[in-house]
Amino acid sequence: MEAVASLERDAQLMLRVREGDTLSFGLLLERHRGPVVNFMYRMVQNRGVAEELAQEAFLRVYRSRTTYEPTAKFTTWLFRISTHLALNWIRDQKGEKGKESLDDTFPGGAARQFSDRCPTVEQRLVFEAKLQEVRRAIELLPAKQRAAVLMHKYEDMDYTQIAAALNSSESAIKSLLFRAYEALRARLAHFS
Amino acid sequence: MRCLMQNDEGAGLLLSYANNKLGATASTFVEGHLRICPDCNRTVEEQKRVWHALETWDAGEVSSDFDRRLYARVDAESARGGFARWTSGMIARWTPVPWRPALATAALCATLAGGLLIQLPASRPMAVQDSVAKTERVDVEQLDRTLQDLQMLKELNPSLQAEANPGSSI
Repeated sequence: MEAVASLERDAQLMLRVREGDTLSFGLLLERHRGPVVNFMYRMVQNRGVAEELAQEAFLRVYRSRTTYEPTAKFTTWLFRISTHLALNWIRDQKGEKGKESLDDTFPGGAARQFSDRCPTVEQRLVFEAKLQEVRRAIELLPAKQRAAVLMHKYEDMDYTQIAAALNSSESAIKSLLFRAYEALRARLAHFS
Repeated sequence: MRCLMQNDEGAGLLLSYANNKLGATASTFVEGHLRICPDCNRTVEEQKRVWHALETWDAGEVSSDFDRRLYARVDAESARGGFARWTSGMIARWTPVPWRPALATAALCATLAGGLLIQLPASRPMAVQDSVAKTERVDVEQLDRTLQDLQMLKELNPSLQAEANPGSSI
């Protein structure tokens, strides 16, 4: 029920954007900015590039406003555009070093946040090591598997939505995800 | 009973069960299978650990000037692209989807060629002509991308209908 309401809300906002209401574009941006940037960040593992790609995704949505028709769920369309951009960037960057160090801090120099309020040095080191392993395990996945896992795990998208975003069948996505998680299980099985 | 991991449907069920995304009836079915299949049991336990490990990765905050930068790009484009937007709208409305990119390119090339023949004197410096051509080329690329994005939206329509079919989702 919540999903239906969300569909209607986003589609209504986009229809208002089509009529020239820029405030509605701002609301769409507010709702989807975080998920799109985070998805891009986990795809390309570089904060600056992730934000550039996310901006391009929203710009493309804005450009398409005049001919927009609510024929599909807005988030699925948005993630399809985002995935397309991320996969193209990864393809273009293959073999080049475009990644920030895993030890980099977030923009503005703020240190990463830890779940414990006052982690000891040892806890912090253990956490950093685990985080680095997770990032590396995701990075090692083929790009399409990576996109599917990120949408499944972090964006809470179901198989149908992921299939639409990746232009695949639902059955193919189940198989793709199972293989991706199989690789992750092999790399992260020692996590307790 | 056949191992669930041996087909896509079963694999999907196992993943959803391990990630707590399965309804009660399907969960009961999977639990029944897990009691007799050590391989699936082990997979589910490992998958739960992977799911937990992935939660370690907090992507952080979006830059505070993200919106400002985006709106600056939108404004810059609005100031630049009135003609391209109008062309995009007309083409999208009146042409079949597969022809759109080719027609868009052809229309803009024809406009550009006509404009150059009429407006530019023969003695106009080459640098200015290059500049005009570059601007129009950017607009053609942008138009193509916009049309591709709209094509994506149209392609999503059948999948939306599948989404509405309760039998197709987990």
